[in-house]
Amino acid sequence: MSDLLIQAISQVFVFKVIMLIGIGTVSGILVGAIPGLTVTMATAILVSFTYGWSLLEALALIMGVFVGGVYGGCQSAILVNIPGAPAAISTAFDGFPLSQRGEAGRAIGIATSQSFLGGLIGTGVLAILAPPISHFALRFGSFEYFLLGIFGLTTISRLASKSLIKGLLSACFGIFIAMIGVDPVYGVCGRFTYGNTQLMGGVHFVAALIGLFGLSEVLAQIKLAQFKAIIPKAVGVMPKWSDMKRYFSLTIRSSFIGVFIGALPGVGGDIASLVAYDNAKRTVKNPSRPFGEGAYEGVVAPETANNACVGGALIPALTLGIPGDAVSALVLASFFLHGLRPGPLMMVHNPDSFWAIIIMSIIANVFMLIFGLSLSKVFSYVVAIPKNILMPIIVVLCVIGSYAIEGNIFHVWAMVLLGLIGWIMRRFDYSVGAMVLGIILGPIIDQNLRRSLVLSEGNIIAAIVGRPISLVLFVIIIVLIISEIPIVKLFWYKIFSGLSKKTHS
Amino acid sequence: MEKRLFAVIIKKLNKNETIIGLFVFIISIYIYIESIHLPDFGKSYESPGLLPAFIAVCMFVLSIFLIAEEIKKALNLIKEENKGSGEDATINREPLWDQRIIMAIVIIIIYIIILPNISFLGASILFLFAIMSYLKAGNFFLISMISLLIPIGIQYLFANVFQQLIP
Repeated sequence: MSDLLIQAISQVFVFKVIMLIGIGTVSGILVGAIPGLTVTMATAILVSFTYGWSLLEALALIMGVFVGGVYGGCQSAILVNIPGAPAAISTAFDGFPLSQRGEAGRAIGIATSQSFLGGLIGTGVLAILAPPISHFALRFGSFEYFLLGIFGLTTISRLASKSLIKGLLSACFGIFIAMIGVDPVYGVCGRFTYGNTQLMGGVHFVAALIGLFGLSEVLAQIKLAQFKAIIPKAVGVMPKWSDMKRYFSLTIRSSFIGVFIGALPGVGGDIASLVAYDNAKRTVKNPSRPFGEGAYEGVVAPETANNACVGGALIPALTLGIPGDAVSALVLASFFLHGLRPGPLMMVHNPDSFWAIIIMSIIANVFMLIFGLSLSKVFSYVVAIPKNILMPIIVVLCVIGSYAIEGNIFHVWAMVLLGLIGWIMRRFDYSVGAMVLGIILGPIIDQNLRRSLVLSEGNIIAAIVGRPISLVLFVIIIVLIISEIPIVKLFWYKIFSGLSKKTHS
Repeated sequence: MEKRLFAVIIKKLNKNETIIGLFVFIISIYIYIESIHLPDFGKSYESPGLLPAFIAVCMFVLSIFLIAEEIKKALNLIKEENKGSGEDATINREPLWDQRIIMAIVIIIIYIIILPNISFLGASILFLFAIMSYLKAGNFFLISMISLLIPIGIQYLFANVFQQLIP
């Protein structure tokens, strides 16, 4: 392992790669800070732009944007009570009251330092857990991969959508989009292509991602009025050592919450930060102020969790090929575009890529700390850019990003159509994330399902029951689905409330 | 009486959600029919239509649940009204389309139509000018400067630095 680490260090510590991580981190912070821009949108566009680059350079830029973008949302959340990223929603609860009290600088300093610590802890857990998980996953066959894909879609449908029905519908629709094109198993039959040569290649998943995350967000933002805010000054951002010591145990707890939630397929920094905030409210006995009125603990917990989530999301992505969230799905997309297949064999065939990501993540966190503290004044001006100037520019970037995939205008049209579909989905509370995961996991589920059926000669259930890992996954999926049925929910609620009454009496 | 109740339910239904449910219902039937007509190479489980057919069945079932949920919500609304609150308890929802969105989509579509015919630079300048003017992004000078400088900057960056294909 030390040889691999040294090899990865020698690959990453090259001026161009370090510079790209730095540029990516600053860009990510800017994207994260501006309400209306999302790190997912930026990463989707970047994946297509970096197509022709080497894998290392592409990953350097994407990891920088990923780490910077997740952190960047706290800037606007604290300064103007508008989270720049979903992961910063909870930060605004106490961050903005702090800003109103004239403590914006101290709040940003604490948010930055805690994001840095959370990011490092998340990366550390990724480095420790990924190798044994990969080793375990070498036992996975087509049955296990098929069920893992279904598990991923079931989880995101439950967690990322207000309604399980809508979440599952989104996932099904995503799988259908992925089925368009030539059948990858036999290669002779076109599915839903109607003889159109363009459709034979299917809907390119990068064009789909840009449309669903980029254009749909632009359409949602265009509806809103022009935003112009009075930006408070952020002075005294350098964090104090006493602050970092005081909040250390909360930092550790929140980091592990972030890593765990990030590792769940389809759930990202927004859920992690909310859960961590809720945990802090319930467990911190003497907060600096009441929560919701400017408690520093209300900034520490979500910011630590959302950056730790980055490492967590990469655990299933790199070890199993199942993305933990939308951005890690785009990291996977980058691997696919460069001819690599993330999963357990990645640690066997390309371990240097894995360790390179670890080191890049650490460097990106260091850059995030440096730029987050030194450039907070610049970010405060960027936050105020009106949407009616920004959104048209994003459309141009979406168009050029879709065209750049294969130099084909067809992908631009696909991007626009999916952008419209994505906007309608958002409008009616359908999960765009579930649809994206369906698009990414669809081919994995399709190929592994058919392979499993061939191996079991059509008797897949018997084959699943006969394999311990498959059986466990199968039972988990059934439990997840059944637990959402209203009658079952009511039953469990009655059992638990009866139990808690007995405990209290 | 039943006809009247049916008419009241239809009135109380969330039209947009119900239309989506019906759309999914119809599309799932279509997907299923198309899937079962794909060749199966001897065994049905080897057919490329297997997963699409399975997805179609799932979508069919889910669309029925969705429509049933909307009917249940409509019935609950009728019950609330009948309790005598005296208010018309209808779910208020903003319309799906508004003028800004429609115009933005039209301008984007025109942009993509003219893109292969004029250069990227020309099409993007026209697009940015048109859409920012419509969205009232600023005065004529500001909009003109942004419309000119941004596409030039993007073209330089992506063609020369990123070495990407430009339309």
